[in-house]
Amino acid sequence: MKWIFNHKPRISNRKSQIANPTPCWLALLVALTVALPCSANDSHTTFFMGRLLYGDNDGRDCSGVGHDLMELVSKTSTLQVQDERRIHLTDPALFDTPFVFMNGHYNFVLSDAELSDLRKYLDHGGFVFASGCCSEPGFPKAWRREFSRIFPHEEVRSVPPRQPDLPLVLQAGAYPVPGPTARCSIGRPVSSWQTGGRHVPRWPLLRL
Amino acid sequence: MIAGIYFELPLAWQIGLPAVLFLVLAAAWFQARRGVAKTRVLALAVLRGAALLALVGLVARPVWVTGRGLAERGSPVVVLLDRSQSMAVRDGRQTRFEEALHFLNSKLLPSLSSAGLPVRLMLFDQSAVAVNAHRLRSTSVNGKRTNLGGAIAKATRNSPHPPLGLIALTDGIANVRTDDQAGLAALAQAGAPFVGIGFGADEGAPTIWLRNVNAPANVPPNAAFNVSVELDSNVPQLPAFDLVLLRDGKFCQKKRVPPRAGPRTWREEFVVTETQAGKHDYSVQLLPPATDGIKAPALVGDAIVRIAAPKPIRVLYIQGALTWDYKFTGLALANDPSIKLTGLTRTSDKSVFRQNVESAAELIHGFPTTLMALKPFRVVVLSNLSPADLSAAQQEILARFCQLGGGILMIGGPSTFDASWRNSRLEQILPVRVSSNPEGASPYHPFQIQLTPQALHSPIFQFGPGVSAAKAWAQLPTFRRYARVDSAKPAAQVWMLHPTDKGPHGQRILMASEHYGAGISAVLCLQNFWRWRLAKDADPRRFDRFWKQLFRFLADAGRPNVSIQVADPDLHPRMDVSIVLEMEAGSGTDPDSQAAPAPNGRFSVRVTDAHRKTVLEESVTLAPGHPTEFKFHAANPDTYSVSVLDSSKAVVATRAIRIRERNLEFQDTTRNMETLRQWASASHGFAVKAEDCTDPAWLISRIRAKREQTQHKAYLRQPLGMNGWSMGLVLGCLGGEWLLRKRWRLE
Repeated sequence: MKWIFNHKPRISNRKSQIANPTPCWLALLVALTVALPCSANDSHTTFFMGRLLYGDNDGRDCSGVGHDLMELVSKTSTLQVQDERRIHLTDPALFDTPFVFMNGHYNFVLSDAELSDLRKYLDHGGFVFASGCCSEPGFPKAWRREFSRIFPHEEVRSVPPRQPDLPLVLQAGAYPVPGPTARCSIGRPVSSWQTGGRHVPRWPLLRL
Repeated sequence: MIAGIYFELPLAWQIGLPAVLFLVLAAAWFQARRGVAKTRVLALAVLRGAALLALVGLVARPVWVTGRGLAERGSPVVVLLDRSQSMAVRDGRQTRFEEALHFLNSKLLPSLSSAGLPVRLMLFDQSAVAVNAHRLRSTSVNGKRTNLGGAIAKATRNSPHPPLGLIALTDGIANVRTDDQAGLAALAQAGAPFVGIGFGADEGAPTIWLRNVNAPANVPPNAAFNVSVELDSNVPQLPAFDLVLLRDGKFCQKKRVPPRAGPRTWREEFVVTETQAGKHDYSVQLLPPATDGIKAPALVGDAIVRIAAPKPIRVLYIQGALTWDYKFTGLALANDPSIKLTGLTRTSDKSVFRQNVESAAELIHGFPTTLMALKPFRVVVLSNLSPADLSAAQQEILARFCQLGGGILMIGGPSTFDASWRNSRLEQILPVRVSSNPEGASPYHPFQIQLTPQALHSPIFQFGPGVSAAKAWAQLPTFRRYARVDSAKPAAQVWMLHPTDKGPHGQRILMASEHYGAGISAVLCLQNFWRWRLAKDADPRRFDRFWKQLFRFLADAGRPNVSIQVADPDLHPRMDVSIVLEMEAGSGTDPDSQAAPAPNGRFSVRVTDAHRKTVLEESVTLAPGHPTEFKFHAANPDTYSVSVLDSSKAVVATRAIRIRERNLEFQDTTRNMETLRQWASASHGFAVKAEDCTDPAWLISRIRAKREQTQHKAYLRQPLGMNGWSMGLVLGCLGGEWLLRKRWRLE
């Protein structure tokens, strides 16, 4: 009989018992499992991670993070994913990439064009995952400031540990994976925007 | 009493009598020549002659004709006086009953008396009773019904002598018809003419009437709906009056209806929002204006509304591996409580991930292994699955699920429509045949989806009023990857095509659907269909709308939507209530499209009363566009529930119907001469308006004339052909003749 497995399935509804949703590496790992089982060399694969180039950032902060993530996913699941692609915020390819990752150390400023594209990207269902590097305070501060410009009327707040409507990638904190090997400062509470009852979760960055 | 034997074929006598005489005399002559004694010859001739004459008589077809039920000396004239409520209507200075009474006492009775005719007086409403003339003035005119046929039957049969005639003083408003046949038979048997004298006015009394109350049978909580009241009035200047809406017997709303001029039928409405789930009785009470003389035959009407949240359509999205399609489909349905997406995803060889399950145990073992586990779902989406992921038993469960009315959608690219699905059980239910090489030989190029003409007219692919489907779909981003399926099955409806890629059977199919059993299966052979929503220039609302419409199409296509309508506008007890059932086309199907129609189905209809006692249960066959009518007898005032059940005894539709007593006497107060004419024509009588009947002597002379005319025609014909007596006569004569010849040794 197929589809019967030894591991206990996880439940992601209101009745589910969700373990600690942090750390974010685990969440990111599950996000990466939102992918088709395909060869890393398969040009037709449906999943890849986009690495955002934004403002003055050239995408080289902690540059091995993307590769580490892919490797982690490959080791812990049957899924195979492509290597990350570097995408600028104003690149049309952004709208072909449903999952993007951004990180950095320092302060940054987004242009109006970048903000416009980012707003549309998020409104259309895109996911931005962000992480500050090496506990530098400049990046998280700049991130809150710049992302507040995307949704100026929305509030950034912490998400409760058992937030029922968190998206899959942030709910699966109990996913059985090896311990996180992040080089950057992670482990802060998951945050989200809330507007009119709609949660836009992020850690330290943005939403599914 | 007139009676006698007549022969329908007298020619038989004209020929037979001489022949019999000749034969008998000839035989007697021969016997006399042989020296037989004269007494013996005579005896034999008599017996032979009697037998032959009897036979000739039978050939002449004798008939016994008698004048039946004819009046004899002393037969009375029966006068029927209507005392039902409609006779209390005041058309002028007097009520109709007072006018009839005046006519009776001042004109009719004296004329009958002077003509020497005995009179028998009877009062009638729903029943009839004999009465003395001096008690008429104290009669109360309050009969709830008028049973003219029953009164005629009783007056005719209870009389010791067949009446000379029947004179009815009435307004002709007869609202009980159950005894009409008995009345007609009694009239015909008595041969008495019926004379109807009509009282009242031809325009009727001023009346305001609450005809019926309508409301939707099922409403979700907190949704506004209308309780409408149909009113009818013939009052020339109708003053203002009030309507009161009661909810479960308690005051809810009141509405003041402004004055109106002229007779009319119109509708008033209450807007109601109900928060409490359950069955609620909304009754509207008419408070008629205080103006004297305005009658209100019906003051109260009911509509029963069931308040219940519609059960959401549950969609089970099964993925062999996580896909972005699931996420974006979930976004499309996020704000629609009527569709609930549940995910079951294989995340590795030995784990599954469940999302939005209803209980901790639901789908705990992964893909359902029983049909019962699939029962909560109305649509199953299969994505990124290969035959190795589904056992033969699980494929059979999916096939049964579809057969019983579920929807199945297979979505994805070449890896989903893998060649290994060929000849599988799942492929049998799909609308397309899977190709042996879904990747194809040629490289993929960006392309724009091409909709078929049927799709352009189908509600699944529309984006609302004022939006051209063709233009909107042309604005979608280009796609690159798709599964190359082989061909569509004969009954499949193709919705999307590849604009340039042609296979062995024409353009490559990108989307198609097909009815399978009571359900429907569909394929969407596009990989990364989610790109439509994320695209920079796309309107995500269109993507969301398409998915909602597609899921409703898949969920409802095999699910009958049966409406229950009451055909009779005026409901009252003791009537056969006519109900019309109609199966509507699936909510996702376009009746004008060439898509395969929803299959016909056999259903059963059950009508129960308020005590859940079954009043009627019968099976019906329903098909879209073909209304079916049935009737049930509402014996008493009650709340009747009409339920339509499918073959598995699941309730498909239900409606509660409240039937109250209503005052039929004031339903139409117009003098009905037509009823009186019909009774008169059935008995060689006549009907006349009271104001035209100024000379009762003329009336009596006409009754006598009609009576005599009737007497001439009222004969009872009874054939007297072969029977025991005639057989006995013939056989007795012939046997006696044979015995005598033997005894006397004659040849």
